[in-house]
Formats: sequence, structure tokens, C-alpha cells
Amino acid sequence: MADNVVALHFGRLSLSRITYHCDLQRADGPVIPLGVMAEFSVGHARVLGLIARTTLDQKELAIVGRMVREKLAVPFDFLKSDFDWACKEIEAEKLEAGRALKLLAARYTDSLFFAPPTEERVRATADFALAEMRRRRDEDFYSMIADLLGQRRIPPSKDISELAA
Amino acid sequence: MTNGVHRFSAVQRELRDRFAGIVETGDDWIEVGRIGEGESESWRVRNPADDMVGVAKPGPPRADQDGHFRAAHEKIAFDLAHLIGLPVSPVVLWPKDIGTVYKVGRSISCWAFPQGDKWNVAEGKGLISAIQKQSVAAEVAAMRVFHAWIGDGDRKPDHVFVDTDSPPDRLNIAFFDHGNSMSAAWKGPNANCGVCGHYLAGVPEDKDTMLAVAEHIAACSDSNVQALVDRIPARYLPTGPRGHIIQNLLARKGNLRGLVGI
Repeated sequence: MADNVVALHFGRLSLSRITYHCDLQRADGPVIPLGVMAEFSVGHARVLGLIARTTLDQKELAIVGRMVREKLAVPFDFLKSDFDWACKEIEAEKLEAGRALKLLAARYTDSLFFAPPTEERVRATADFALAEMRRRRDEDFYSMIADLLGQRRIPPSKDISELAA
Repeated sequence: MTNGVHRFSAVQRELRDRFAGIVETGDDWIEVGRIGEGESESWRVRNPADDMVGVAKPGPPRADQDGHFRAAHEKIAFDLAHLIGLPVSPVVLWPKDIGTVYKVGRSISCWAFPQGDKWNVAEGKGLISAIQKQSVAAEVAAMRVFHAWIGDGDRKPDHVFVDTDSPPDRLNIAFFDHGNSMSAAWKGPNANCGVCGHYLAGVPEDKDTMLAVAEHIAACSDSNVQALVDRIPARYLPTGPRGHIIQNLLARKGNLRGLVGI
């Protein structure tokens, strides 16, 4: 094979949407979008990413329970500890590929909700794994916000989100 | 003990009363999405009749188990707790796919409060104050006795649901996940099984409440207890385990002080 040709491998991309459910007992209860966590494994490379909202607006905060209101006001900070935990576990090679998001989905099943991850085979090289994970994670995040706010499209903005990868 | 040991609002009490009056739901609940993963997987379900949401268990990984009567245990545990006035999330039986996909049926549990998270999640996120932990001593003590009664020795903080809209000086909690109690632990009459210890750090032990609840359970009429087990349809709970459940519940209820060591 020529030196300037790089083999593309199939990797596994997992995405988990993170939301806050303000009325668990009702199907039409308000759901607040918080963020998306992503993991992409290709070959030996594994990358983890979080995108989350910088703040909630006053209307949203008014319907969040008293015990959690102050902390949830800055969703990125609220979720960062889960991202750090998953990073540490992956670095210590304690979790097989794709397992971190599954464990988070098993832990957060109520008002704070990590959706069971969607999994997809994606072709990429190890070098481009980070860029590909970021692209897909951010795309899913803005699409989730648009879905939950009933809008067709939300343009990416640094005012809305903060990133970790 | 006449009002029970719980802090449910009028709305939540009405929901509990309604579910206690139904054995098996006749509504066409719809599966709307997965919750959790692997062995703990369950389904979020919606009742199109009133838009209510609940959790159907067991999930697919345990659907074909035909010797573990999780749904029946969940329902009996709720009904007994309702009889005594203890905070267990409401449960009904759901016949969809029983005998085929789900060999011994499913139950639907409803969240006890509109908003909340499991104790371990709320604790991990630093949401529960020391004062709030102290405020639930009576509920935790009462449930320890109840769990000893129903043979549920493996209780954990992630089986306790915390109302995250609780006020700063007290905490509203409810208990759920009783699928592994009763006949899962009692394989015959007068079965011996471990009782759970005190598992919520920071919550003081309240022996007076334990004693009061043990006496209250002992005073429940045998016929009321038996009736709650006997009303479970046979396809969820066959004769053998049903008999063991009734015999053990009746034998243990007078001996709870000894079982929990008070």
C-alpha cells in the first residue's frame, strides 16, 4: 500500500442524551435538555466527550425541584463530575469500549436521565476519531435542543454550550 | 401508626389508594422507551387513557424467567405497605405478553413523586443535607422492619427514591424494587433468610419506630394479609410459591422484634 494511503477502520460511536424530567408521572411533563455525552472507539483509540448547556433560563429553573435548582443552574458543571469519572475509568482501562455510557444510563434513570446510548458503526481513522466524535456529539446536542424546544434547527453557539473532550 | 409512616401529599395518597384498589391494569399501556441497561433494564410506559407514566419491569433480559415471580412480589409488597401505611411506590400488574414473551408477567410501578432521583444519585450529587437525613429516621426504621417481614435482605441506597422538591428541613422518600423479596428468598415454609441492616449513612436509627411498626404489623389480621396474596392471579404466582409466601408472611409477622433484634 502506498505511504499516503491510510486505512479506514470501523469504530463504535455511542451517544447518550442527558435530560431533566420535571414531572416523571406525566407523559406531557416538561423535559429540560442538558447535554450529550459521546464515546468513540476505533482501533486502540478511545475518546470521550461532553457537551452541555452553560445555563438554564429562569423559566426552566422555576420548574426544577428545590433541592437541585441551584446546582442544575449550570448544567455543564453539574455533569462534569460524571464525565471526569468516566474518563478516569477509561484511562485506568477498567471499562471496555462503550461501557461508560451504559453505566451512566443505568445510574441516572429518573429526573436526571441519561438515555440508554445509541450505538453506531462509523468509519474513521484513529487520528480523526476525536474530530469525528466532536462533530457527531455536537450535532446530536443541537438536534436534541431543537426537538425539545419544538424548533426546526438551533444554530451552534458558544453562548449555549460548553465542551469537554 | 394510624396515619402510617410517610409524607405523601394528598395527590400522592390518592394515587396510592387508586393503585391499591386495582390488582391488574386493564388499560393499554404503551412502551415508550428504555430505561437503564442490561440486567436493570426496564421500560418507560404510558397510559393513553390518562397520560400517566410508569416503569414496566422486568425488562427483556429477564423476560423468560419463569421461576422468579418478580411482578407478583412487587405488587404484594406495595399492597402490604399500603395496608400498613408505609412509603412504597404504587404498583399494578400488567398482563401484556404474559405467558409468552414475559413468562410470569410484568408489573408497572409509578414514581412516588413527580420529581426525584435515587438516594445514591442525590447523595452523589451532594443534594441531601445532614438535617434532611435526620428527618427520615422514622421512615427508614419502619421500612427496615417491613423488609425483614417480606424477606428482602438486599436493600441498597439505589432502592430509595428521593423527592428532589423536598423542603430544606425534611426529606420525602419512597421505597421501590421488591422483585427479589418473598418467594425469591423463601423456598419453603418457615424459611430462614437474612435481614437487611442499616444501610443509609447519616440517617439515625430510630428503635422506637421500629418497635411500633413491628407491633403494628403483628396486629394486622391474618385474613387481610392472606387476601392480598390470594388476589394475585395464578399466571403471575402459581400455587407452590403462593403458599410459601402466605405461610412465611403469617409466621414472621409476630416475630419481627426478634428478627430485627429489638
